[in-house]
Amino acid sequence: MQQNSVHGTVERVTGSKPGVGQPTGQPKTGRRGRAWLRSSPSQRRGSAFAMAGPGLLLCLAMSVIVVTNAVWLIVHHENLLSPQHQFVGASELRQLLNDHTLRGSLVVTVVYVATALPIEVALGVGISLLLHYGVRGGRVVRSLIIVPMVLAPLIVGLIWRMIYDPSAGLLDYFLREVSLPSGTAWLANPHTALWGIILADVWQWTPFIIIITVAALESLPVDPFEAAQIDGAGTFQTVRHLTLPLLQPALAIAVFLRLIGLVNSFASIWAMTMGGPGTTTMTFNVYAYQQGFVLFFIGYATTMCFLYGLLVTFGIMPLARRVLGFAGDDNLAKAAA
Amino acid sequence: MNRRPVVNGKSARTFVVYLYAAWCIVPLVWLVSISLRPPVNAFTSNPLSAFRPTLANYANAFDTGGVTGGLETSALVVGITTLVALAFATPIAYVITQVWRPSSASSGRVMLYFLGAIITPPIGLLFPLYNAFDIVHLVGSVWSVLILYTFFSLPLAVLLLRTYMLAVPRELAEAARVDGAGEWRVLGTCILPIVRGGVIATGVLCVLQQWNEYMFASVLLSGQHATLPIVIASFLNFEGTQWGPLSAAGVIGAFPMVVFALLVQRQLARGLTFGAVK
Repeated sequence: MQQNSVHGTVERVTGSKPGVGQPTGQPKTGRRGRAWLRSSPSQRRGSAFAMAGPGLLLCLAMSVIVVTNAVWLIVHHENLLSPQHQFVGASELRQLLNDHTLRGSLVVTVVYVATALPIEVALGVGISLLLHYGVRGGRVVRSLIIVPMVLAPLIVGLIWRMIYDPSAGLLDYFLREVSLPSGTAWLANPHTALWGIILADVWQWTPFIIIITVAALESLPVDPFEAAQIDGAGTFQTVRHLTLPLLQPALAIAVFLRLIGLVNSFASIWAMTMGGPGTTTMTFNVYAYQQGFVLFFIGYATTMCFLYGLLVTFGIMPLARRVLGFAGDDNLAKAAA
Repeated sequence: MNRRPVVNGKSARTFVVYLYAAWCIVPLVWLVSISLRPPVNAFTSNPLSAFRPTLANYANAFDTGGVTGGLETSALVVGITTLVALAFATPIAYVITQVWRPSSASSGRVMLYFLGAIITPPIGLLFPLYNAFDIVHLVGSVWSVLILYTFFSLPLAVLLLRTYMLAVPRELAEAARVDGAGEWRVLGTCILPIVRGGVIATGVLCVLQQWNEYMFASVLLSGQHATLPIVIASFLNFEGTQWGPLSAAGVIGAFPMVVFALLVQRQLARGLTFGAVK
């Protein structure tokens, strides 16, 4: 089977591969690895490499640069303020195991992702169904709800920091208007800060789910719905037993991409709380950034990111294959199998 | 059959959806209103209090806040990297769809590489790349983000262009080859004119992706060579937080992206899912 390493794969594409041609006029379901040549094999192979080669080689070079620098930083006790490059081998890996803040930041990340994701999906699918079944001025609404998503996460963080402000914030204003207790410093309170950054992410990224779901709803086949109507199925039954199952492939993609987005979320949290108060909103990304560029322990930061990257990439890769298999992208599913 | 679902009437649906749209829009309207208030107490406790709109915050942001330079740098960086990424990505997408069979193992491997590039957490690249740029003395130079954003745009561009080129029948390229056209010529005269709309949409989506980037820019750029997000973040520091100019700068940065997003609205679902949902 194919190997997993992404770097290895490119090497094999750009490297020399025996040019096994296939007779002309074969059906499209050719054997894997032999179907890509039909006429004048050597000539075509040459120009294919000339076209795709530069881009792929540059990507490969970039990957090599990243990996070599990562390894170098991991085995050295690097500090951005110190000119010394002290070789420490794997001792920083051992340091990771005893790092309680790191453990805490992983817990915060899991809570953050596991809370925001279901809210975004439920809200997004709900609004999408309403939009799909028809509302007045649906077009305008669809244009409006795109806007939060195209803002820079940094700006979103700053907007919400203003909204949560205990004296001049918009939230505080609403609470005062309806005579509820006001004056809470939402982002400075350890009990509410995490909810604060979750809500900001829900605000920005629920539209992402909506756009994908609405597009998927529009492309669903009509026949099953007509059949359901003839059989006398109610709206709720149709949604439950027909729409949602049919939506599953697109929804899987949306959830998968949101998962990646949440795991990588940084700028909005940095702008709102910088991980505080204490470490209550310190996700892994915030902690690593702080270690590297506030405390300047870049070697240690690299070490933790390296393990985290492996964890995330290999945790998510099987999911990616399944999800893209869902999408009917069989060549990718096959290549990844 | 007797129990009617809650969301039945069009009016009920409309009400709920409008409520949601208001939740999306109100914070932005508020941001714009703050940016138009007099700078002295732009960030006031009564958002509905009357005020005389002024562009003073915008003037501030441009004159003393460095927004002019930020806009220039951002436009330059995002424009160049998008064009370069498209130039690299188009031949790759062409090869994996029109030269090799899309279902071939070779195409699959290239796809797998770019899929891996999308999944890799950016924070994992941050420190090694900073170190690499530090070694070649490019930290603080626009060249660092020029190089970086090109690589960030490539996976998106390849995966998206691929979906547009998949839709072009392979017989077309075959026919051109029989007539003696080389691969570059087939791409340029036969495939590109058909997928031109897709290329433009891909470019816009790359712009949307890079315009807002903060994490890498925050450690690689500063001062004169900063991109707009870095300039905006700088309002947080000197002389406390200047919410008025900050809001103005935020509006300035967001406006072109809103326009772009609305331009490619129909392609947005495809772009956001790297071509998986059309």
